[in-house]
Amino acid sequence: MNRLLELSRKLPVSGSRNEQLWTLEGQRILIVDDFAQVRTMLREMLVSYGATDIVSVKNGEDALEAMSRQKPDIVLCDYNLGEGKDGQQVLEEAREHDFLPHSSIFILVTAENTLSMVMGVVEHEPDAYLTKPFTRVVLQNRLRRLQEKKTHFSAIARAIERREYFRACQLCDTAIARGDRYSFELMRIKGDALERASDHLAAEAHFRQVLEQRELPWAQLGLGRALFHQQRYAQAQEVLEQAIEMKENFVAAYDWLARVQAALGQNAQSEATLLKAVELSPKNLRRQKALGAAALSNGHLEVAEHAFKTAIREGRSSIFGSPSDYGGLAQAQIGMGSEEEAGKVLERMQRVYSDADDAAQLQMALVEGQVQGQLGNEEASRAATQKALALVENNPGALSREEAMNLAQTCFSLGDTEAGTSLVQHVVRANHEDETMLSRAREMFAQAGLAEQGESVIADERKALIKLNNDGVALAKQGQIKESVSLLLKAAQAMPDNVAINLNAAQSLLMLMRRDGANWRLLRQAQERLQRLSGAASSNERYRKLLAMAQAVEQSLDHA
Amino acid sequence: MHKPAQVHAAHPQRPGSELPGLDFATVLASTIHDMKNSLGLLLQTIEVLEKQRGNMAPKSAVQFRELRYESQRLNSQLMQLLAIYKLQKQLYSPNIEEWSVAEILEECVLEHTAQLEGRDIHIQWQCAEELSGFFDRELINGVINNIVNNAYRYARNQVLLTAQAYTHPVGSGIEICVIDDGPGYPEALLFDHNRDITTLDFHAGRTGLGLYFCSLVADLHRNKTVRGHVACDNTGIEGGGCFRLYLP
Repeated sequence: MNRLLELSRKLPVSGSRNEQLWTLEGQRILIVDDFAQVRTMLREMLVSYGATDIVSVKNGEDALEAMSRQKPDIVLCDYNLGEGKDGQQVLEEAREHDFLPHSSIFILVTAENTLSMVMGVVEHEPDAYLTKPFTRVVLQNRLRRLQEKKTHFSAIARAIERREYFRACQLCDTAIARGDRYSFELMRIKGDALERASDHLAAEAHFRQVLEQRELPWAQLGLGRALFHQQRYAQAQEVLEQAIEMKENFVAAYDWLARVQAALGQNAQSEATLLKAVELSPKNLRRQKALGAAALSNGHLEVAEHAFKTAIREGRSSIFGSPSDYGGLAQAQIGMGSEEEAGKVLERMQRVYSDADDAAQLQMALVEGQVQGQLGNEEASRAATQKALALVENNPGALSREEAMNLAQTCFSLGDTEAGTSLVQHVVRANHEDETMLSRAREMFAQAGLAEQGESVIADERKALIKLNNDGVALAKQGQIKESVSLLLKAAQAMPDNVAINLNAAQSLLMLMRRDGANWRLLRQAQERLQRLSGAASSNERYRKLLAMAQAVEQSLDHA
Repeated sequence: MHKPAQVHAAHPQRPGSELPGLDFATVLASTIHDMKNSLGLLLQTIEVLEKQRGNMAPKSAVQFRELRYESQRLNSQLMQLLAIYKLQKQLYSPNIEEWSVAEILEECVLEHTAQLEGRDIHIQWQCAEELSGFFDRELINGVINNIVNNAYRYARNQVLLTAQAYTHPVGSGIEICVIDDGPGYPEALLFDHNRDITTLDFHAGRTGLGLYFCSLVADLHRNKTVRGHVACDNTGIEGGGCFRLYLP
């Protein structure tokens, strides 16, 4: 059933192979380098191995454009591309856009003195690094071996792409038990699969087991993440600090440590950690944003200003750039007393995003509403807020819970209590078990002089939810399992993060499969509900029981 | 008796010295960067000239090959010097990951075969495809290239790269060997893990400094309490040299 495991393993080899047997014919190849001579040289090398379909581009923007037109089989991308994006950013955005299917090969080409600098700080690993200068035969050897490796892992990769995480773990286990040559890589993939399946207890045990065999930074980081997801922050902190000790330029560990510190309320430390990470990898946009937000909330306005300015500069031609970066910058400047500058920032934002899509228009309206309010321009703030509300009406899922709360705050301060209340109501509905969120909602109502009304909104939402859950469970108990499933799934769509609804929906789906027989579609739906439950829920007993049931169903489908 | 090696990066400043304090190692390191750039251009020019001349007379072909070989040797020596500087100053944080050993050996052989076409030395590798090890790829490449370059100078016709897993009471790992059929290492450079590398005589024949670099790199590779190390003996082909690199 599993072709990966059937692959015969090669026996000891001596000397170099016959390179004539191997060809690049028909492979879609993309070359990215800012030097024309290098592009020509690479092209000649590849053509000598039969390559027929080669596209060469001179910068990252063109590379992404080319990939969007046709997904490549092989990308040879230089790290240093002069102005604009670097190779790492190209890789990140290509993965984000799904331009790189699992079977594709991305090689990052670096100069010999930059490799160690680049390697430590990447989030998205390329399939290989190639150090300049390299010869034709070395390139050929690398490509051939990478192709073999891709084939070797293809069954597991397919399972992960289809979100069959339990199956992926099983494939890894079987391969490891057979003494597969990539045993540690398989352990790494298994750990990631467990994390994606939100099985954080199993992930913790797995990473601990790996660490007993060898102190590996990625396993240490994995353990830290597993603890973070279980909200065991103090332990996570200790583990992540050790990960940084193992590998001092381990940027991903800094990012997670900063999150842990923020969760522990150590806001100053969290900012300091992000600052260190930014020093190691200054071009990463999301990290600059995180630093900006942390510095802003700590009142370190100059740090925030610098971080948001960098984010804006790096985000200019990136999908990760957003109007919220301009919002952060404007707020930092208002805090520093330079209102005029903040006004100019808003104007610049409008120019940059003048013909952006709805999502960016919404972001822009949110920023505009908030910042104009802080600048005392009530009319402009009101107009922007109206626009934001109109955009949200068409697409209620577009707001994150932070954004919804911020927008509600603006509405209240503009005296639009109706819109504000409805926004908070929505947040409460989706997070009715989250005490910190509820107390923030209470506080907001109180500040708007609506303490009493706020209490009744929260109480009503609670009651409605409890009733909904009870109805769903009662239907299932009466044997109307299909009705129960459709009720709870509809509720889950409106409140995707609600723990009780997700658990009940998963349970009803599993009951339905037990009664009417299992199929992949229903199983996928049940797993999706369970994957929604990260955090404390992952050690919840009922959650673990349901997870085990889902895994048993997956296994039975596998063998069917 | 062997003289203890004098390889210290930081040059102590004389008290009251007129010169402001840039230590010699730092000056050297930044000069090396410049030198490497020049050498890169030189190597490029050699390649262009070779291409322009097309089918040249056998004698000049040999001369070109020597020119290329020596420049490349210079280049790898400078790289090594820079690496020693970084290691001693603890400026280098190794990226230890799992790699296929066969891939590393094969690449090294391909690289050298291309560089030294026409010479009477045959280079080969031998290793189980499934063998993998944990190491910093760039550093270990540097070590193997260094030793292979050296082996070329002494080998009669053969250089062989091998690797296998080893188990040892203290801990297991991989052993990579560079074997040649030359006259072997001089007595002064024979050593194993029982002997401190810095007691080697660095003036005795083969590049002792290269061995020092190799041992620094090996020592950076650790698993729990076990450290990597290097050893040299004369169990190569017909009494030739054998360099061994152990990585836990």
